[in-house]
Amino acid sequence: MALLIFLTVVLVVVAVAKIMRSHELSTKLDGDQADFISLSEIKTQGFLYALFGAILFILIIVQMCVWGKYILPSSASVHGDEIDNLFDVTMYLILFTFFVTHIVMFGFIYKYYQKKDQKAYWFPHNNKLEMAWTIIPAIVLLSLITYGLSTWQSVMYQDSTKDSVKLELVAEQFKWTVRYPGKDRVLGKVNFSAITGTNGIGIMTSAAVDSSLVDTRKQIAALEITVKELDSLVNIGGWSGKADDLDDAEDNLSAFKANERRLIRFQEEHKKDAAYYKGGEDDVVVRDTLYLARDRMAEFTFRSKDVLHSAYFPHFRAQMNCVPGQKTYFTFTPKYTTEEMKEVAASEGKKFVMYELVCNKICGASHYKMRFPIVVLTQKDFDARIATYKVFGDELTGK
Amino acid sequence: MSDHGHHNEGHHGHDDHGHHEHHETFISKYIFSQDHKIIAKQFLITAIIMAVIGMGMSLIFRLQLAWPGEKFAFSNFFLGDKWAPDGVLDPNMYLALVTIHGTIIVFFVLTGGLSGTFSNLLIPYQLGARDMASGFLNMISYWLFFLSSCIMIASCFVETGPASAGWTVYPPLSAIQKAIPGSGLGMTLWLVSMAIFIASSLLGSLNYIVTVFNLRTKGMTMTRMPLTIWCFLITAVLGVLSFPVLLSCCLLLIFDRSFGTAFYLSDIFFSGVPLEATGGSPLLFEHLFWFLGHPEVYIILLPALGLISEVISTNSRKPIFGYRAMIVSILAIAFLSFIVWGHHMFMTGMNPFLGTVFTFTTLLIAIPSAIKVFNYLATIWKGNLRLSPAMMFALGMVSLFISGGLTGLILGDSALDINIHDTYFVVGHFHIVMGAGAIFGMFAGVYHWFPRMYGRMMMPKLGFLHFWMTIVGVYGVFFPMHFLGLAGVPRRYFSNEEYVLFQDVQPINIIITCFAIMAAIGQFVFIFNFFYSIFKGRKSNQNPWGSNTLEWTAPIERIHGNWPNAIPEVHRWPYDYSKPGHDTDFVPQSVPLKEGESDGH
Repeated sequence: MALLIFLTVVLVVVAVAKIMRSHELSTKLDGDQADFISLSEIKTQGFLYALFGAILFILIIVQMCVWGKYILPSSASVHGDEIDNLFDVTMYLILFTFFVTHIVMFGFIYKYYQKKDQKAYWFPHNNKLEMAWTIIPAIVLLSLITYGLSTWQSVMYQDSTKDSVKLELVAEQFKWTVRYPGKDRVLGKVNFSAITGTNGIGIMTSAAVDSSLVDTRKQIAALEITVKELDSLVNIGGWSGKADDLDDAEDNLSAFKANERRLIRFQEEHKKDAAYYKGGEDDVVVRDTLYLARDRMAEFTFRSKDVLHSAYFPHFRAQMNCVPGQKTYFTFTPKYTTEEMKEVAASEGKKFVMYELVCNKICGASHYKMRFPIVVLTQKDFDARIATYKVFGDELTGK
Repeated sequence: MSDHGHHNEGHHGHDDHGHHEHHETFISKYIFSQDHKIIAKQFLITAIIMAVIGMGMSLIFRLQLAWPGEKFAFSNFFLGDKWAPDGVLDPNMYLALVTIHGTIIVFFVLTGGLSGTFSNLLIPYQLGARDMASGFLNMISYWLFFLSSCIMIASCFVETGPASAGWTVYPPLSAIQKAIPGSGLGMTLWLVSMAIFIASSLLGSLNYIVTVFNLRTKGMTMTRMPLTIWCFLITAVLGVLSFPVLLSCCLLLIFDRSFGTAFYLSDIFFSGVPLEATGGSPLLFEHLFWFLGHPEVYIILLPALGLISEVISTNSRKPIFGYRAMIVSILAIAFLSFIVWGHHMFMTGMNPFLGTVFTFTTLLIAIPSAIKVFNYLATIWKGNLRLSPAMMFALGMVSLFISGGLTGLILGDSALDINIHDTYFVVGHFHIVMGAGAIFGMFAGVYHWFPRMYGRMMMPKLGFLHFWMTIVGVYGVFFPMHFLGLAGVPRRYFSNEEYVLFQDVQPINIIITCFAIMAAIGQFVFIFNFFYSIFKGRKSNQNPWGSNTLEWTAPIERIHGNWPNAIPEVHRWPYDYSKPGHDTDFVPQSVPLKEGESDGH
């Protein structure tokens, strides 16, 4: 089938070419012999260019009308309006420049396409003109830069408020985990060395470090056996089919040994330092939904366990990459609860069903599925909702 | 030759090359040729093949994006049962196709192909040189390019698939071999191919720079050089300064992948194992990558702008407006291009203060870009526009440069980038300004200089057909993408169906794919026209477009050394079109000034 379509296309192209070629040969004698393109052809193309310009303009306006509702989902954060204003100003400027320069260009093409007795005008340069179109863009751009940077400043450097909630979003292939600080309003310390099956984001409490060390030693013991077995197969038995497995097992063994060293060092450093571990005990880990409270500033910390991810909140005009080995930050204040947002969006003529968190940095085969629902509640509902989850200390011990 | 030999003192040693014609064998003439004209054709044809492959890949993933989960015999035919079982594209292969499509088009078509073809063809010709400064290095440059192309293609056939971490190959995804199948052998081959490509690019660039500085014919001062040469020169300088950084970036990634180092890796817990690597940072990679990556945009764009400067001036029968302002703009763009890379990284966790700095420098680039656009518009004002296919494409590039440049004002503004970073808005923006823009410049160049390369003309009617299919396709494909991006649709998504937010936008994707198919068919018109005209095209005369530059003073037959007798001497700038006081509407650079005529421009 594909081959058939391909052949058809080729044949059509060949046929068109043949027709054109014979047409060209037959009309060759009409025009000026010295020119390879006749004036009548140039006239046609000049006309087509102008026509194309007109159609392009119409289609752009049509697109604006039909798809205009997709231009930014309704804003749901306090700083979102600032960004949207900047966006509108920039967009009008862009559209104005686009239409003016294109009308000039298509106009010139239509007016000055080659004609029999037309002479081009010798006009190699003009200092005044050149100054004008250096200085005017410079002024416009400097104003735009100033406006843009003041917006950036106010979005990226938001002072934390008294009642702000500090929360953490951890990304991994292909899911998200949220951590709330609990009653003490402090997020406990974290480290990737402490990650285990029950402690998926590596919260450092005294018990968590101990259990991770137990876990790591179990892994080491198991891997030592595996390495020995594979080694006897590969290096003594000469069975190279398992060489890759042996490499992997050796790598993993040395990784777990390094983890053991890190954990022991950690225990020693914080032996008499009970306060160090305290923050994590009452943290709340949520794996199914990101809950936020309306009008309460959310100060996010982002982390990643494996590869780069990006936490993108289209409605809240917020985005930040999640980087392994580094914490990143973004702060915003939700303005409407999910229910309120439905009405707000409807009043703006836009569709809204629910808030969603989007993974926006290529992270693997299921990148496109790495979605996380967001629910914004009133303060009261939010507190009630979070209270239904176990605190981390209990979760770890299975209480 | 002897009478005029004294004109070339200081930059010759090449004068006697014309005599060696009969010593050439087939292999030395067409395969391991050291002749800049043959090397230019080798680059061009390799780039055409790579472009077809890159375009074909985009069709396969466009089908998936428009009709996710549908069965396409087309996909199955090219990818087989493993990667497109029953014709449904595999998500891993989707990412691989996106990655290799980007790599091929950015590096192999628009960097290697564009600069390789036209710098090689035009630098010696337009400067009045017998050949490149080093024909041997030039040959090596092409064959390294060929080798790296072959390795890149070969990487598509390994068991685990080609590299699939996006063309930017950000670690840790590209560094952890099990994070995605493409990060196995495919990624290794990608890195090897790129390392060889960089070597090729550096050899080429050094050669271009040396040639421009040393082999200009008598009278060819820097301010009498055509703008094409200025652009090629600055492009080569950008390449020499930035490609080595990409090489070190790739080398460190190779170390991280194969030798257990941790330049880019830290605190990673992957598939149940806390990896040993600590202390590295993926941000280091991003900085190194974009330190090349942004100048790379101008490595692609400047040669195309150079080509259309020449094409627009010649076909308007008017001097390019503001020649000196054009040169200053090129220099300003080149300088600024080195201090804007951070605008690719506003959302990476880089300190927001750096975002401030990079926003400032990025938006400044709009000033020289605006000057260039206004100068082009002033050039066609009151001209006598010969709308040849080359001119059509050149004007099309001006349009695309405006459209794509303007959306850059949104992306370059850090506050606005928050919401459209890595969405289809970016995809639309860079395909218009840098992808299609540069391709249009390249097409303008091919249609314009085809008679110089093959001594024959391409068929103008097919050229017009090709132009209309392409420009309609480009605007049809990439303009709607801005709406997708503003709706929040991320790039590199296999399908948008998982999200409630994107459920209504699917019709846009279908429209885009339809235009993409049409544009792709249009390219076969070009390919047919190109290869048919090589053998059967109408014979060209020596100067078919009535141009002023020196390449049109050389005979149509390809001879080693370009001019059979003495190389021409230059007496004026290259843009004396429709100059008052002359009978013809062009005065070639080799024509001496009339008595009392001023060379001022």
